[in-house]
Amino acid sequence: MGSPLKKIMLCSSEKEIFSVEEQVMVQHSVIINNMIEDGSYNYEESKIPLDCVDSKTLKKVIDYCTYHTHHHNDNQEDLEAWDAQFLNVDSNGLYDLLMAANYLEIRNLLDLIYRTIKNMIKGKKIDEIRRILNIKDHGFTPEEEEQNRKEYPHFY
Amino acid sequence: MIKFLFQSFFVRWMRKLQIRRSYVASLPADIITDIFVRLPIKSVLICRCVCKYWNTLISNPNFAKLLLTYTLPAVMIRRKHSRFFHLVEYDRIEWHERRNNTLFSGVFEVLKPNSSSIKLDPKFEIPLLGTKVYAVLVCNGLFYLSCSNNGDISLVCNPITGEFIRLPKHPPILKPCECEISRGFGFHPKTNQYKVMRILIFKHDHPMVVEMLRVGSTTWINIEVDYPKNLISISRFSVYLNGALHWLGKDVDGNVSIWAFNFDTERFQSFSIPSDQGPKVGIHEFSGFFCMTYYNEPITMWMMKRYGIEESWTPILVSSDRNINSSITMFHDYIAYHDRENKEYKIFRTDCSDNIQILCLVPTLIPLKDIIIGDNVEVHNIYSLNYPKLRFY
Repeated sequence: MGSPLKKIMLCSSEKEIFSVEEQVMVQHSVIINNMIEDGSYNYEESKIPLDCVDSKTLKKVIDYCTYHTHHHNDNQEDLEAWDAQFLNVDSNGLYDLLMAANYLEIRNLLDLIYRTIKNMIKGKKIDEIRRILNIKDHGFTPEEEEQNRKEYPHFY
Repeated sequence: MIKFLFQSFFVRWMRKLQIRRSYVASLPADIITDIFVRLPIKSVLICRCVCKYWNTLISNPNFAKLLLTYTLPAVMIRRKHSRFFHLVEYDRIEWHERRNNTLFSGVFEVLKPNSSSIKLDPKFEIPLLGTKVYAVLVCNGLFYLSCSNNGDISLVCNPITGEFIRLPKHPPILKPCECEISRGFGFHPKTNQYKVMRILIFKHDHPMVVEMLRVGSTTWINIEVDYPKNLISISRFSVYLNGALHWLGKDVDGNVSIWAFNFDTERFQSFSIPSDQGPKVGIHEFSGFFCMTYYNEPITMWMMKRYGIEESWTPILVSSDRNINSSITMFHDYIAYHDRENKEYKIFRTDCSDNIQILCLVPTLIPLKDIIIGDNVEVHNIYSLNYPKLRFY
């Protein structure tokens, strides 16, 4: 564990460099924590390349980690309100965040996104889920789709 | 150079567009599976029909096994003469938002005899079109259904997936009016086998006949057991727990005790009941423990904290209690008990009318062919369009 003021460099897929307090990323990302701990990160030269995370998403991920590092003593309601506001993104944004959180192994952000997606599906019927998740091509043959509709009419 | 950059950007943009057509739907299998296992089972069933990719993931037997490790016990409710069961899942009731007596209002909506609008939507059909379903017994995630008193037609089904298998006919009873019939349905963990039992106690001299069927086999067998000679009657339906079936039994002197049939030893064993508080009693499993409830005023529920140890009977709730970790709600003849710590709830009927049937099961999507061991087990599905209609009126 380094001192809280040490900075590390993260590099997005667009090769944009983000400088972040080390402590912020170490606390949240299992991957970065491992990198720092095993000494493979050189503070003078290294940039952590995140080829599958674009700048916009990386900025959000850093926002999330920073906020939760500095506000972890806030009351639960305030944090939840902030999280809800944070995840008020379009579906593509949610997908990008999920993939980034998964790649960086940020457990609490992953859980938050899982819960959000779960709530998008829970209690909804098939047609609604398809609309919410923007599923245009469900991949079933017309025969399969028709059979499903006949066998489980109450699900549609 | 600029042209090259533009091209590479364009290719990447196109690829992104392609992947993103249905972004969440096309999440990697491990991520989407992680989301599915957090959903109520009804939503999982719905997701199966949302798109082909999800269908493939959910239909995988390994997914069903994984899901089961996350599934909490649920309650299934059926009105008399109905072919439908309503599923009440833990997740569907937001415990933390509803406190006090409104906790179970959603559940009780179904129980109101004249409620025209049933709010609890998940409806599952049982594979019998007739109304005279004599017995519905539950073990883990499966139902045993029997259609007439003679047990001519019986089957084992998974009410969630609609899969069922028919069981061979029961052996005929020579003098059906002269005996009391009790039934049991349970699981033998050592052999991974489900078993159905029928016990006949004849009115004259009370000889006992014990018959057993391994679900998946074709023949009933008679079991020679040392049965208690002074037992004159046992409850009609068994309660399954710990590889054993349990009935309430009454001896010639009117003493009530619990009779357990262990699948391992194939022997009966009896436990004494916690106290003598009157005849209105029920036995059940709750949170993995054997429990007994006295439906008096106040209602008292006892739990056998260590299985088989009579000294471990502990009163866990009295309906007038204000227990911090649990809550109890009463509505007409029903009580609902909620164990906050174990995230489990149970609904009991306090009177003896048969208008409503309430069963506790652990919903599962594991295919019957992976559960039932046996040759030539023919699995049908009630939701498939050409399933063999079983009409018994």
